[in-house]
Amino acid sequence: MNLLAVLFVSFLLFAIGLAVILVRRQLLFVLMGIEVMTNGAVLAAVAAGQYWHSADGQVLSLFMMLVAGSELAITLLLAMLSYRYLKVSRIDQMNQLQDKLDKEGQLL
Amino acid sequence: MMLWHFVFWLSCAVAVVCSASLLFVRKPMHGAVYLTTAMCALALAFYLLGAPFIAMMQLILYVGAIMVLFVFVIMLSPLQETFPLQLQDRSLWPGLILLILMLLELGALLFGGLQVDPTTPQIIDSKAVGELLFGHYKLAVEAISTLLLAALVGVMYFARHLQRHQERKLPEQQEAK
Repeated sequence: MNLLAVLFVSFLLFAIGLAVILVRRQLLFVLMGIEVMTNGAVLAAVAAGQYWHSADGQVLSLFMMLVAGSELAITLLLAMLSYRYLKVSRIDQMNQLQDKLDKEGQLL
Repeated sequence: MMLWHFVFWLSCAVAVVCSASLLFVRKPMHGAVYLTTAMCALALAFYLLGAPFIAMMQLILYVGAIMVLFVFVIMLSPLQETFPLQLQDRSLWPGLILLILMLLELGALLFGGLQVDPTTPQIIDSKAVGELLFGHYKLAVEAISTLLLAALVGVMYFARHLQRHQERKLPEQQEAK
């Protein structure tokens, strides 16, 4: 097992997840990108733990999985609420808090 | 050992390709299928690295719980709009430039003379993980259980909100008919 190669794969997963978040502005795809990033981090933790022959990496990755699961349960429900109430599925359309200006630049 | 290398790198390649296809798919349901495939491939990679406990946890937690949640939300969401990848959108460029810079830094780090001795993977079974989890990391287990409880309460609160909204909407629709 070459640790650097496994770390390269995990970094690749992290970068792909980041690219998904940056490029796809749809709510569900943003959440999927976060999951891919978490998976990359979990792979790095497991590989490092196996490299030093210790179980700490597996414990750390278990905690990461649990945190990702509890985070996702709430954010998916928030995404569904935003579909229902705001009729919005892209994060750059979520601008209900903005100020509307008229042509002279005054607040409406 | 030859077979180990072949299967491990194949599963890593499957995980990376399936994750990268999230960039191009149009429908969220297809994205969920690709993500499930990537997670199964990663579970195989964990198993081959010598971590059978985490491999099973990956299957149970990610494929069994998180992806089911994703599919439920995709099926329940009323809007079925799809937005394909649009690279001519100028607001994407700063983020992509930063991402490419990050990849270049990674290349400089990995190919800049960093030396790590190769080791043979050794199986660390669930007994060692459990001893550490309920011995040294006892407090962290309590904290994570509190976090799960908080998530449960939050989800129940929001779900009640959703239900009330629907009940309020139903009599109005009946009056309209």
